[in-house]
Amino acid sequence: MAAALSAALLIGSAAPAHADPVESIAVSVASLFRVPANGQLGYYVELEVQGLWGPTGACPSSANWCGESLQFRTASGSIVTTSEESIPYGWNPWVDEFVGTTPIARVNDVRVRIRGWGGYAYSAWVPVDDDLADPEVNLDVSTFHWNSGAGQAQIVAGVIGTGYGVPEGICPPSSNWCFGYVEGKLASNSSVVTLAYANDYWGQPWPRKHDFSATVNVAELSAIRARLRGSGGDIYGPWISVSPEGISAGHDLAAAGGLIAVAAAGMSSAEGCLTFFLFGPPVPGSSLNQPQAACLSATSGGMSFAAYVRALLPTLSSAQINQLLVASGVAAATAAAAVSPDLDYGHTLPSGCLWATPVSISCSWASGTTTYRPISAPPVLDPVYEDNFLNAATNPWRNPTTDDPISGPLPTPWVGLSGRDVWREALRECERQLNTDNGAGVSVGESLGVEDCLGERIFFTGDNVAEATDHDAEVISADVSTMVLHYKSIAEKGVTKPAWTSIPACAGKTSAQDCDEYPFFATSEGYDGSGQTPDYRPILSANNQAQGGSYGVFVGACFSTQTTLPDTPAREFLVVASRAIPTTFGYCSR
Amino acid sequence: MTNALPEIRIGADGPEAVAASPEMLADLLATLESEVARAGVPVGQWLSPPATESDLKAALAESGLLLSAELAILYTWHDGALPGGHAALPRFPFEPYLVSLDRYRIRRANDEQFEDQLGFGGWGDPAGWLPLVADSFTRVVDCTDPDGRPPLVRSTEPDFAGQRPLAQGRSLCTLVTWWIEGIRSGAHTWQADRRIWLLDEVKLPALQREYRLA
Repeated sequence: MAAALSAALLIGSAAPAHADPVESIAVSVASLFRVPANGQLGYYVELEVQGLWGPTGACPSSANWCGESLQFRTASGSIVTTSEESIPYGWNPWVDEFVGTTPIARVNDVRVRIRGWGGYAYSAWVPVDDDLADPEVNLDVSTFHWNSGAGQAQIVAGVIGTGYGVPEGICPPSSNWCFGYVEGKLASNSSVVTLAYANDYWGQPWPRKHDFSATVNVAELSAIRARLRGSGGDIYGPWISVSPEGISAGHDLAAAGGLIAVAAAGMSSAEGCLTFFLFGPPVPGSSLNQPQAACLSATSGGMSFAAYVRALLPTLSSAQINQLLVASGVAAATAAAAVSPDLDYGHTLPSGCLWATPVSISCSWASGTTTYRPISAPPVLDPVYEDNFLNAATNPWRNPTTDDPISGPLPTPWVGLSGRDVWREALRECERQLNTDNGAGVSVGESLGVEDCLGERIFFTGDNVAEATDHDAEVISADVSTMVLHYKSIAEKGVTKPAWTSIPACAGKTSAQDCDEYPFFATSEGYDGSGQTPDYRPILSANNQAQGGSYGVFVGACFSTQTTLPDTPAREFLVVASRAIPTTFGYCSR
Repeated sequence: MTNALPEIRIGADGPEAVAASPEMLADLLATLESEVARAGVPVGQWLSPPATESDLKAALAESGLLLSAELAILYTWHDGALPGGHAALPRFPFEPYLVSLDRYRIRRANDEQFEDQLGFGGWGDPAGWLPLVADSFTRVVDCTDPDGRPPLVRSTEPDFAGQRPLAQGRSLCTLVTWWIEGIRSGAHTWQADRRIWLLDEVKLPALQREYRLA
């Protein structure tokens, strides 16, 4: 941000315009920088003038007035002069400083000008390093849903302009208009269409973000981008690809319907209705909920369950589709569990069984080879929904395609997984946890007010710290409200964690164990010294410390104690604990 | 043995017992032991016999750690607690040095896992700092400068980085002084039937609460 400074003391040569000045001017640029909030140039320039008030020169003794000002020379050669200030009569040498901010184009060098009755005197130009950002515009996509059947795109996105609102820029302060656009590219002929725009950038400090929320009629799209247009011209952001195939509410309906149909194979329609529709308000006086009742009514006339689901999917919300998918995955896992409950993560596999993939176990029995799904394997989501999470274009938060969640060796059966694979498993498990019934007829996510796993901050704790994860998962299972925590630094808490010898639950701790706690100590929900007691358990020290390291990385990246207050939503995060997640890592905005 | 406690002042590295020295530490540890025994702790049965300085020095050296005079005084007072005796001292389940060295190796392995995670400052116990307690929230002593000033000591925390040097001070004398003060002020009280020390943080001196060191 702060520019490199030219601190060399340069003696300016006289450059008389109307007389023969004899003054010499030394200039030192102590500081030159761009103000982040508005892009103005900040400066702190010192000067010393010798030879004032002599018999000749710009400011001779025969007159009693002399002025000083600072001049900037821009990259285009324009010279911008600051307001002139008086130099008191008789001072020689004269020492002063210029301090201020000014809206100005990119500056190459700076000098001091003296003006009096004898004319002008100037210092030499002093080169400076102005780190004015190049004008830039980018699209920050929160939501992009495209319903090809209806020919509509729903877009929630911010257009962020940077470095444009300066003189000689795209939108100079002298202009009274400056538009931001969201543009789309048609797949068929690559022509560009405007999807949304707003004249909301002129006269604004920069960087500036305008949030667009629009539903537009468009037959096809292959990509979207941001654009900024002002009197200084146009700039464009990069194209962001969007998938145009059969998408509704962020899902691939064909894939989702297929997944559900496979899970429902062998079930009667009535069984399917009761198994898969676990969301929605109850029917008064009945044990059914309204979607179950509607499903039973529709299929009682002979319509197959699969056909009913396919017809229903386009009318459901994104969260409801996830709930159906999770229910289908849970149903499949339950079927596998009936076969062999021991086939799961963290279990010693029976003789003859081995991990074929992270989500399948191959067992050679006397009757032949059978492949099983681990009981805890999270359900598969449809590929478009997963891609929305995994791709930078549609995930506004930390980028799963470039941020590697793997910080250490992965345990069996995860060896060989890529970072993207880990992100996918974490997403699936997160959706499974949010979209299962909380035991009171509503999903866990609904009870927490968390719609899906595209949220802002999530801490995943997984199989690489198995004992720590099991502990956290069991506490959450007993009280799902502990899935949402709030970071609070130790300094903010102002209390010290008790020694393990003072915690009865850890009385049996060995020297190889730590006294683990959940909720974590560095949260509002953790131990606070006033009776709020977390759950304690002795666990393997290496597990506790590795999880603590990951938590430290997460909170360091995701929370600022300088700009956010404890016990507020800005400190909120979700904890997803499961051995079905390969490793332990955090997720938040960049 | 003296019952007078040194003054704790805030220096550049955090709180520090004025005129801390190995001799002062030996006196303070003896005072701590008598205070704990007076509270009813069978301290003589719960703390280990002393370590020998030569064994201690050699064991630390194997892990690249240097033995300071204060650390030598600590372990030649008692080599941690015996099994079942970790509750002997308030807020300080003191471990034998061999257990501490095992812990040190675990911490280093953990560091390697996270060394490429920019912005993570760790728990405040980088290489060269020996943990005295076998837990994640522990007390650690700087073992990189045996001939210099009294060693730096810290309480480890998951977000140690980024704070001003709270949870850090200089000299084991500082910790022991504060433990003794905690017992005398009634902040630490021994519950014989439950075999634990209870802490009433409100009764701790404000400086202790702020620095979270003892």
